[in-house]
Amino acid sequence: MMKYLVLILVIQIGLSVNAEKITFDKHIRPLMKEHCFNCHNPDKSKAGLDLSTYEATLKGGSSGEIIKAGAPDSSLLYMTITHHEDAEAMPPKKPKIADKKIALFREWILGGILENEGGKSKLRKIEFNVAAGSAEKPALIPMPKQLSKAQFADKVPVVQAMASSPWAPLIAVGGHKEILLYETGSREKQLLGALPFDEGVVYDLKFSKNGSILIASGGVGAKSGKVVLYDVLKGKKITSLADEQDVVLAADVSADHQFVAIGTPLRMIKVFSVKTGKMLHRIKKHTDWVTAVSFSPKGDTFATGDRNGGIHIWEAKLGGIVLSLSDHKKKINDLAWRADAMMLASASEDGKFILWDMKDGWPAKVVDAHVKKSEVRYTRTTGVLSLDWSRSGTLVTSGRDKKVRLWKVDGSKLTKSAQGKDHLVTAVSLSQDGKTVILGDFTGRLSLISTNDIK
Amino acid sequence: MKKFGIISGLISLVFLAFACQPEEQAKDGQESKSSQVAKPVEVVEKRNVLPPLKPGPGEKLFVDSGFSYRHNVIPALQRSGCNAGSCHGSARGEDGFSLSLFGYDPEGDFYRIVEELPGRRVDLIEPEKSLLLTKAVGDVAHSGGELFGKDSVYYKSILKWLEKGAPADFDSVEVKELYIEQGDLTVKFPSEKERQIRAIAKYSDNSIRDVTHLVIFKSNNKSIAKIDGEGKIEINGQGSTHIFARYAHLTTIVEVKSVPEEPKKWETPKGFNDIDKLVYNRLDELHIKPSDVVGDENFLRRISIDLIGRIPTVDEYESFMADKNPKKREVLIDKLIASESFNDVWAAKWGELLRNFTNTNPLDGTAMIAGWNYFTWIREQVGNNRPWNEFASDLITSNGSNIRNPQSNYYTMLPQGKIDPMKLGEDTAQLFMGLRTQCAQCHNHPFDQWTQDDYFGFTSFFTGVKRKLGSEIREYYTFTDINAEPAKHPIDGKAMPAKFLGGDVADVKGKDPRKVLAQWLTSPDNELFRRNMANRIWEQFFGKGIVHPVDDVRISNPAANEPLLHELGRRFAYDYKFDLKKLVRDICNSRTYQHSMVPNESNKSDDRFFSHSYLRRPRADVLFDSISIALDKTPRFRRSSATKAVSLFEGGRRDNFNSYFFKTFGQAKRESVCTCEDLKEANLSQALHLINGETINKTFTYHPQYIPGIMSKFDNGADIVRHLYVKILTRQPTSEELNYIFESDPRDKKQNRKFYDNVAWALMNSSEFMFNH
Repeated sequence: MMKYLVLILVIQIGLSVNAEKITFDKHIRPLMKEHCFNCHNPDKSKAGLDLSTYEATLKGGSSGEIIKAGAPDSSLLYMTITHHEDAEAMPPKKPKIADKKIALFREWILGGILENEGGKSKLRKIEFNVAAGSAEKPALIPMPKQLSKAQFADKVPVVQAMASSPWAPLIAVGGHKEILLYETGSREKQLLGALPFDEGVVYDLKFSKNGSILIASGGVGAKSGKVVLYDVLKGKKITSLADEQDVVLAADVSADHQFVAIGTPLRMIKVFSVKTGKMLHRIKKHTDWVTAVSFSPKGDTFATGDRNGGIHIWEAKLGGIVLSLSDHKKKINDLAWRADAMMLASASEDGKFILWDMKDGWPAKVVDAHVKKSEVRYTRTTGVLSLDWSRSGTLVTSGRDKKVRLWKVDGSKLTKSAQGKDHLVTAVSLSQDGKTVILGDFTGRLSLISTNDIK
Repeated sequence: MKKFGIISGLISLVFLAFACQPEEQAKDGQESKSSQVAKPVEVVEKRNVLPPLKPGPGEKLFVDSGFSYRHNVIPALQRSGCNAGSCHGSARGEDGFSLSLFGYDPEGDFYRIVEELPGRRVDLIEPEKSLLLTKAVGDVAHSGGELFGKDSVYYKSILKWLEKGAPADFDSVEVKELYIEQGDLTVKFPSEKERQIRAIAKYSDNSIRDVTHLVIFKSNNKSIAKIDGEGKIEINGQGSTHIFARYAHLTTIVEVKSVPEEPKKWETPKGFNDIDKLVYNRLDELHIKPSDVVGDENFLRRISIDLIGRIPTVDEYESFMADKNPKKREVLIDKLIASESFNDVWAAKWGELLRNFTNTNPLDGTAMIAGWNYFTWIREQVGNNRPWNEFASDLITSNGSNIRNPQSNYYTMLPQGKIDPMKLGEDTAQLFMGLRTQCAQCHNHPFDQWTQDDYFGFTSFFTGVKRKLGSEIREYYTFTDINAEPAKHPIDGKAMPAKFLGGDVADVKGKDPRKVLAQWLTSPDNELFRRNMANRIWEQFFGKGIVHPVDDVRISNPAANEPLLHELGRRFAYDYKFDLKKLVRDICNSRTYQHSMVPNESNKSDDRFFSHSYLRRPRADVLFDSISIALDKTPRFRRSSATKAVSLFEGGRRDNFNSYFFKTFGQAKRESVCTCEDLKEANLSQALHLINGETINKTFTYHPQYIPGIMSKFDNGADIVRHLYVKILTRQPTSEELNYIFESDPRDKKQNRKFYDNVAWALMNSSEFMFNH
């Protein structure tokens, strides 16, 4: 218990060592006066920016807001003073201001950009209410009755596609020419059988929100791409969609089973009607490969992420854009919605995951989840590879640091626990009851750990 | 089956021609594309021309597993052009897949091939379906086309590597040396058509390996010799060219000489001094006959432009032509070398290279007073005939006020603005050794031996250089922090101790690293320095370096005449103790320098071996001063009492009276240390400026005393024309020219000023005036 408290404290106040609150009036304004006022004052507001008052600072400049509470690395103000490569270095033509001063800015942003001692924190509370709208439990728990025999169960090169049924103790794993289905216990798994996938390599697997449909996407590199929908209960193919020139990197089906959205290396998003198999929308917006697609548990909203770190939110029916979320700097590896559809989690190669408030696309929580400086030349040990969000609200992530981490979200607090692995965990899922973590690794192996064992 | 092979071969060639190519060698215009990339290869087995490789004493044969990541897979990708700059080796990769340029980062490439997108690029269950292979053989769509066939060694070794589970072997032996087993590469043309060479790599364990099928071969001049992917050289023409081979980070070259079968029919002329001996040895080797010696008029004009930066005056012409001394050329050379104008020319050249460049914003440390003092200091060093090694050493080790100790402007003018140790290292290497190390900042130099380790080791000599504002606002102090941290390697942040380029780690403990550097750099034993300095001097007199460009020294850019460059460097350092004037005297007295521009049958296509004089457009300031002499002009420059463009302290940068001229004729902008800044090409706007612009026309309009003054001296029209010829072109007109001029306008020659205006104008606009020949 004591341990938890300390952890919470540390996370809450970020890197701050002393308990004093960092405020605009006391700490930040003097620094601004020293370094910024010369150009950013009410009379000479370069780039439309005035930093002389709290209100004006929050208002931002001609390129919009410059501070995002709780997310210094995405705040333009912080990026400029740390000479981030995507921002203009400030103060101009001068060396960086002292590290201590930069740290103050960082703490101030992490601490909720307080105006003064009595000021109100601008940090968002993460409110979590499962009952608020998560898909209702289906009458029939969709466990497959009939499956063909698995042909190549021992031939899984890399577990890159894995999905866990939201309602049944069932996981699906992309294998060689087939999709392997396992029944999961708390610490063991049992192979039930396979669904054939002759279309090539499976790149992505998803269960629909009620668990009755499994959607598989993939194909043959630089040659063909397909999406196949299976009826989980019957163990049969329902339909196949799309006819791409390269693999379908990611796909998902909407909660009402009406729409399928896919992402491709040609930077395209396509939306299909499940009923007719016709393509409804062809959207060119992403600037690189579309690597992740995920439908909201409610309605026809879906999220897509690309290899540049861009995320967009769409409406499947109209094909229109709802939001653009641009705080990640590297490839989006995974996207997952919270069961009440109010929040989206994104995992990126930059080592962070972000919890987005879907009301307005605010990065409510930016977490350096798997960030580790590599000790040896050329190895990569930073990056979140996979992420899953259970119905009960537990988050699990795996990263290039060969760690699996469990995150409990409670209010605005996030607590974590971790377990190291020998191999890169390329895919991670939580069982339907949220009690077991299923890991798929770089060598093709599957393993199960009880969430209680991750400490 | 056979037919298929041919068709797929053709298709692949067509693809290759359009798609991915290994990086073209910079500025090598005549390179053809198809010679560099392997054709679908069945190679090694088929080639029995050379006997099996025999290890020498202490050596052994390399054991080739056939599927090593380091020794088979990466070389296969490099040979096939996958990691070239125009393909996946470019900074952002290509089509979503990026590799390190020319494989400088094999570990990083392993990550990108195997781990970056798990499951996409390699398939360890069905290796032959790996995208890495299906793309390369063209089974699936690939912008780079088909790079090799399924029966090639490349395909086989990559497949085998995948079948073995794609193991990494970063700890295995390293390649240390690459050489070409050349045999005799002097070919009798046209009866001999082919030669076979073999590329051999030597590894850290002293094992040797035939890597002919893995290197990238290139020919510097395909019209002389072509080389295919199997090391077979095909001779196409007469002359000399170099074949170069690249494997891993190593480059090596070998010369192919193609000479006519029948013995040469001429007697090689006797040289004037021993420079000629070295030049003529080379010409004999290649069966090239040197041109004749120029006449006195032409010689006078050439030597004046080269040594004192302007054409000779009429008086100088007359006294030289009247001189009966058989050694009058030698006498003239000595006289001109001793003149003040000689110093002006070299001070201007150094001012340009050292970027003497001022600014009215005092806070930049490049105030006018600093620039003026720097200029004066440089000119003094040239005037005192300061040895070049001392001059270089003074600059590199300079400290203190840039106003009172002007050489310290080395650290305010080269890095205008912020001090950047990397840039200082680059500039110093380029200025004094002719090395362009910039490439090695981010990756191994593609055409030379420099690695990132070399680059950052050299940078460490300058990490302690600091500047602060002086007691007055225009002044800057340079000093060294001898405890400064060395530069860090960008990949792993390891400190790189100061290391001489191509040499050892330097002992800089407790010393100013720049002093240690200067001592090494300017030592007569440093071949890089002495050769480059000698070559820069040579270039002034031929318009071309023996290595050309003079500041692009690299393995793949060999000297046109190695013994000559070697000797000039040796002599400059040891015999002459870096005395510029002595080396200049040798060069100018050589028959080689005094070759006529008129070529003969055997040397008309030579543009590298100095068998005849090459047409050169003088630098902008030299041309400007020559125009002043030809037109009796006293030019005006803004904010300067100088009467010659060549003695303007920062070139024509500040002179807005004549700025258009300097810009059009490509005066160096002093934005870099590159000799390429000084443009010497001829173009249309230059011709138009001389025809219509005010530099020449003002003489006839606003300053109308020029022609009347000349007219008043002579009674005879022909004499006036003769005088103009001497004044402008430094020669007498031929009788045809005289006849032509007087027949073209039947009006009264004696009195018509307009007529002589036109004659002078026409001569000024002749290419004979605009060029040094």
